Amino acid sequence: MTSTETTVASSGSEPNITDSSLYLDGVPFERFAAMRDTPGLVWHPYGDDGFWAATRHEDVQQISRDSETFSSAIGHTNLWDLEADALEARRSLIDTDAPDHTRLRRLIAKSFTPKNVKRWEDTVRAIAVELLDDFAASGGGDWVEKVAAPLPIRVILTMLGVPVEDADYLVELSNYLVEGTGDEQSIPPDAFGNTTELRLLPFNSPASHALFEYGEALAAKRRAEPQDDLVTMLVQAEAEDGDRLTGSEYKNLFHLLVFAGNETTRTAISQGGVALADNPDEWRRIVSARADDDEAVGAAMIETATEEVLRWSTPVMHMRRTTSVATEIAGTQIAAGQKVVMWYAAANHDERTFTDPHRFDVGRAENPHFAFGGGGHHMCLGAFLARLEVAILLEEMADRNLVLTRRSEPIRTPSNFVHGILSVDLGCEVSP
Amino acid sequence: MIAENDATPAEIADPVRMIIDEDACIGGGVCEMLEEATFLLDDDTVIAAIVGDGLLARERAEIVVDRCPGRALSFVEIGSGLEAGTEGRSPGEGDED
Ligand code: HEM
Ligand code: SF4
Repeated sequence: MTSTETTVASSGSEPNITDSSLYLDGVPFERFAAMRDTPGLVWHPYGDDGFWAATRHEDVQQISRDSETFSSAIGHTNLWDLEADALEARRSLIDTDAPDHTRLRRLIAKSFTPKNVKRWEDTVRAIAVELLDDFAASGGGDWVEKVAAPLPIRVILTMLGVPVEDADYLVELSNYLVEGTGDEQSIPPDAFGNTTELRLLPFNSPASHALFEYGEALAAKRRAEPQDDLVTMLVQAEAEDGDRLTGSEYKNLFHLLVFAGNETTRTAISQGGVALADNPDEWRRIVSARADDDEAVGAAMIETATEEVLRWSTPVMHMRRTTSVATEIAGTQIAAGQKVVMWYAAANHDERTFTDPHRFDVGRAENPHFAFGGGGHHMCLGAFLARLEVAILLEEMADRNLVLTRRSEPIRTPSNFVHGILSVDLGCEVSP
Repeated sequence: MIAENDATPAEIADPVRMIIDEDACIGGGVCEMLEEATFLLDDDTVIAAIVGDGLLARERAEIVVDRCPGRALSFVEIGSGLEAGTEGRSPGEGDED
């Protein structure tokens, strides 16, 4: 077993969908289309072994909903395997199966229900308005740096109870984490005073050490002085009953919330901004629906446009499962202990499910996309929060009549996992 | 607050009775969002509970079963006994889908 997270080139002439540099030019849609048309699941070499790639919507859904057969706790939910001690040290909600998963998830689920997420609407709106007003006042700029990155991090940090002054530092840490999904890290192993072996840290990144430390310091503060925030809720859950939330569970959960609540939503907004700049007619549809006398017309449009931004961006391009028993999907026999990878980026463009999948259609009526996973136990905890953030941003942009234009090619994240944009220069005008 | 589900089987077209597998529920509240007259997420346990008689039109029951991320929801047919109000509170075997 290997603990490095670099990928090997696949044999044959097809593009290797695990090669991170491939994604510098965008998602390999043609390769995914060919894989969808291949009967059964496609075996893809990886490291010393390989994985079964699921690319059709139907197959991804079946795998995602059967977490007994397709385990998240065995091995890892990313492509590479972890040694047993590393997996234990790094295990968070996302790498557990029931009943551990159920117990952990219920500890935080309440804060993310559709009903409770709505309570953050004013907070989200205030942050969105501030960022958009600044962006419009300077006529545009780096959409990622100015809008897409700060919005979600500020929202999740507010919910967690992290002071605003620390937001930039946590954004920086989060940026380093994404690098851990690519081939190279730009910071040395001892960055941030790290002394832990990298393989024991999430994303093999010293930035995880810094995030753990930050989370622990905040927990200590909240233990001393409880507040009305998520960290207080988590430490109290830990205090009430020793074995409810261990120290390791807490810090991994804190890490997961900061990372998952941040990088992904940033990507949806980054890709969404580019899509709106590239599809001015679609943007006009949103603006005119919002201006309709019948408010329901605007509301319905914001809902469909939000879902389309999520489908179009598919921020998390895949997740992995490992079979706990021998099974069969799409006629392919899968042995126990094999890796199965659900390629959401492929399923979200499946022509069997979506009409005209390569079109960005803000009014798309049937849109059962898998941006938040294919359903089942691990369905994104933050799905309703992410939807709220995207929807409010669209509303405020439309109501200000802002028009985005493309001034540069996006610089993409070299990652086969996060469909990120590092920076993109967008113009921003107020249309008369 | 949550409205009581006071519809009778006669008012719901093709009604079925919802069942929650409490061990499987992950507390995300999707059921409550979709059918707020039928489900309520308990604030303390963070487990969904049924409000009222738990009856839903089959079509809507199928949607909420499909959307439940915990795979915790199912429904059973209501027997003829129910209309007479004789069926007990325990709903019998779970429908696997
Ligand atoms: C557009 C934004 C987002 C996207 C595309 C996204 C995507 C995903 C996906 C695909 C999964 C499934 C993982 C799996 O099946 O193994 C997931 C899980 C998760 N997401 Fe998100 N996410 C987003 C926003 C958020 C936000 C805002 C939070 C904030 C708290 C969050 C927290 C989580 C957590 C904690 C999990 C693990 C859930 C579990 O294993 O039970 N996500 N997300
Ligand atoms: S949708 Fe399913 S998992 Fe979620 S609260 Fe309702 S029963 Fe529980």
